[in-house]
Amino acid sequence: MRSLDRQRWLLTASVVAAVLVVAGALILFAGADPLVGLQGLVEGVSSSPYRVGEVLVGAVPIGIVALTLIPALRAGVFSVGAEGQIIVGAITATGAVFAIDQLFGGAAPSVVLWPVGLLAGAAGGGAMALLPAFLAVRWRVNEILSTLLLNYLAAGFLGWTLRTWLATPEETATPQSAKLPEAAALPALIPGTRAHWGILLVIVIAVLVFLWNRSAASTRLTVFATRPKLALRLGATRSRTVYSTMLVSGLGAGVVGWIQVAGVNDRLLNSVSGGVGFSGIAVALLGGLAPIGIVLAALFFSALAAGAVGMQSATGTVPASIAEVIKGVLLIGVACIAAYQRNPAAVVRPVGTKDAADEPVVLSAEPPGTAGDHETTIGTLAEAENEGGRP
Amino acid sequence: MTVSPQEMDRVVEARSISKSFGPVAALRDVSMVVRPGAVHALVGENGAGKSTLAKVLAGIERPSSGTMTLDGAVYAPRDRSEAKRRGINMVPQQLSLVGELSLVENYLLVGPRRLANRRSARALLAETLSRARVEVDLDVPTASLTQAHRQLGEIVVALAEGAHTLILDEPTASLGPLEVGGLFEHLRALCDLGTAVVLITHRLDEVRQVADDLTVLSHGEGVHNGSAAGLASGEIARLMVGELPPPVARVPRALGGVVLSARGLVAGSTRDTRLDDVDLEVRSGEILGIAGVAGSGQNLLLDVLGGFVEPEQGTVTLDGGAPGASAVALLNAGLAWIPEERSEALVPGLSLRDNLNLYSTAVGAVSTERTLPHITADLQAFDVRPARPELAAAGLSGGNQQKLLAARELGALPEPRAVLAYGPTQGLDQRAAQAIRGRLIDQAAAGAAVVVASHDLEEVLAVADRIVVMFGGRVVADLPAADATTDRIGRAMAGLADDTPPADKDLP
Ligand SMILES: Nc1ncnc2c1ncn2[C@@H]1O[C@H](COP(=O)(O)OP(=O)(O)OP(=O)(O)O)[C@@H](O)[C@H]1O
Ligand SMILES: [Mg+2]
Repeated sequence: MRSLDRQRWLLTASVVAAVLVVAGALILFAGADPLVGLQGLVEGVSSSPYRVGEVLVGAVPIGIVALTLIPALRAGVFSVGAEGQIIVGAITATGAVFAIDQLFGGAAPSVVLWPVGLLAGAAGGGAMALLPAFLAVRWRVNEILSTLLLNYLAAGFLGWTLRTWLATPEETATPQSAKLPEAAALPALIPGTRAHWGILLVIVIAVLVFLWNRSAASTRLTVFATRPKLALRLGATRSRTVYSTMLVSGLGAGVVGWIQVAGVNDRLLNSVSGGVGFSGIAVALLGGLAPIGIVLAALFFSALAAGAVGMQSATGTVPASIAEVIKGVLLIGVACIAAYQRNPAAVVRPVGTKDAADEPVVLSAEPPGTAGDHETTIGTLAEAENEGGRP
Repeated sequence: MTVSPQEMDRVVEARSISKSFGPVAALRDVSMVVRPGAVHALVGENGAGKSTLAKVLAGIERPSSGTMTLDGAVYAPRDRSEAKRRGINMVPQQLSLVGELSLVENYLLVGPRRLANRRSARALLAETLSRARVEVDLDVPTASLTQAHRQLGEIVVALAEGAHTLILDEPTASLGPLEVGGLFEHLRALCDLGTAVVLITHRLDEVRQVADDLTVLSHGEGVHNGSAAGLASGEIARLMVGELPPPVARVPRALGGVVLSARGLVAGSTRDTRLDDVDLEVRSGEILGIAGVAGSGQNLLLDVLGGFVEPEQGTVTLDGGAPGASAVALLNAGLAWIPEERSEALVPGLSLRDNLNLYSTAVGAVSTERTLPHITADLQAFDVRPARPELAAAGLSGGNQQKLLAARELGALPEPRAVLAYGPTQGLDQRAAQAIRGRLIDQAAAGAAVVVASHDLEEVLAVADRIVVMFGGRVVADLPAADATTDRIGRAMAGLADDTPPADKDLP
């Protein structure tokens, strides 16, 4: 067991080493000094309160998307539609805020506009998620395919929206909506930064997910992923599971749409989703489907993006997109660790009882550093014992 | 156990092997010599360490201590593929075929020549199949085969891979007598060519039928090592599990009203023969046996009765409830379920405790979470070993997993009204099998309607009061146990009886 632990640490260490080597090589290749680059990275993240705020601002949408994806991924429902759901949520939130504001003669108070934005965003994202859920349940359309394609549909719809019914009357270089009424904007949490109250929402959702993890519903989803008949016995039918999990992720993504408009940009932009939907999936997996892991991973992703900008300005030659490469290497590494842990014999781990240290327990893949009790990574679950003999 | 010098080259010898999983000592100082050209039976009660020893030999587990030699040279395989390269292959207790792939593709995946072409692979498998005189579809995804066929398929893939030492972990647990006969003939033929076969089984008649050598394990220690000849079944049984209690006596039970009934069922699935107008009634206190060769529709019938498959026509009612209830509604109405494949009903990553408590997480659950003392009591009542509530189910031996399943379905559920069980004693040693049969009889005595299906006639005959025989998705015979001679049922199972309606008991 100790040797297994050591192997896991070795694996993790080699992933970290690989990231450093790749990053260093790329910086050298771009003709810069890696140390200067590193310094720029650190400064980009921490040199001023504003920069710290930017890291938080970036982590909020990724975190919410990832947290609300937990049920779907736990059940083995692979929805990659967060991008599209964010877009639709942003559109409905913006539209609703303008409409209600008009109803109040342009002077609607915040207590009205905030909930209106939140609810409209959630409704838009949720509706956008129910469509692929319906297709999956009714005609068994693969949800990966349908959500991916619907992302394009949503992007097209956004472009059309920004040129027609939500277009700003002013002359602007890029298509965008008019600025949201002042009262609709999310106030800053830390003065002098863009860090807004949405941060608290992440914490609330993380706590809710943490509590939900211990619920019967969570167990049913885990069973659903690998034991379809047993799941039926527990009442987790396919339609119930697909609808509920996709809806939760859609609601989360829709709220993110609202937050990006009301908290960050003050208006609806073409770039409202900006890859956050995909980062969310990566962060959910990186965080091992555990709330704490996800919050940390979201912060890390966001810091990487902010730091890369710092690196770009410090070195002058290294493009900020180096962050994407690093994320990619990291994800491959995490996938390797997860695959390694699928091996049942490899995951012998004590469980928190008194004589825990010598209790042999084989658990399914558990990412390093998470402390949940029966957290499982998607799809791996029970295959431990039942490799391939899937019913 | 003398080994002639020319055979010496392929002798596998294990000396003083020990293996522990944390504090659990699965093997203690076990030695074993596997001779070429002989069938070596490895027997012992559930959890004795048979699978662990087999895995050590096949390179899947590494021993904590002890040495092995092959051909006199050190044999310490790092993994399964190294063992295979050195000619030792194993068919594990838990099947390892990839469900999405056909047998041919599975073979291409693991076979020695990874680039072998599909046509020659198929021909090779087909030839192996015909030598073993069994028929298995080589071209459909293995997930859509019956369990018996998947078991055979896995063996055939291993045979086709070619090994001088082949370890089969309970290959016959899910097979009927027909398939077992063909398989054994083939194994004997292989032995005549010099292959060594290690056969793990709980069926003592099989030991007497094919084994040359015998190793008996008990609580992780080798208690007998030697020739299988000259040992009576009773003696082997005593070595394995000690003195057996006498089988549960048959006491006639008073039958109550109909609890479980099915009318005019028509249903289809990829896994089993289509059901063609099946009627069934099981009364309170009755144990109904459903016999039939594997894939005659018994499995699909249980799936429909359990609410897992919606029939195209016909209805199922439990206890006068609404017809066509969902699986969860049936669970909450008191339907116990032991499927053919225990892996369908257990979650290996969850602890024994969570597995026993699983039904408290059902939608609208009637069963509540049981406290630790209750859980421990359940585990002990069903003799699940080790009875450690926090152990993950994957850490149990195959037979103990089966006991765990029985403990949940027959023990933890608040008084089942009906029991659906397919081969409930699969993989159990004689003592445990007898205990589970006793439980089923107790449930019937307490008023439950019990259905025991199997493609193994003995399993059905051991407990049933009335026996229904299925063939080709239809009920072809319906006899009270007293009239159910092996011969009569055997004929019906082979489809030889004419299509007498179920009610008509005058079979030719
Ligand atoms: N991965 C594991 N983790 C912890 N304990 C294990 C593990 N594998 C096996 N054991 C323990 O080792 C012992 C021997 O198990 P093994 O599977 O070898 O039994 P077996 O003789 O094959 O029994 P059966 O007839 O039920 O298949 C059991 O007590 C089992 O609980
Ligand atoms: Mg075993």
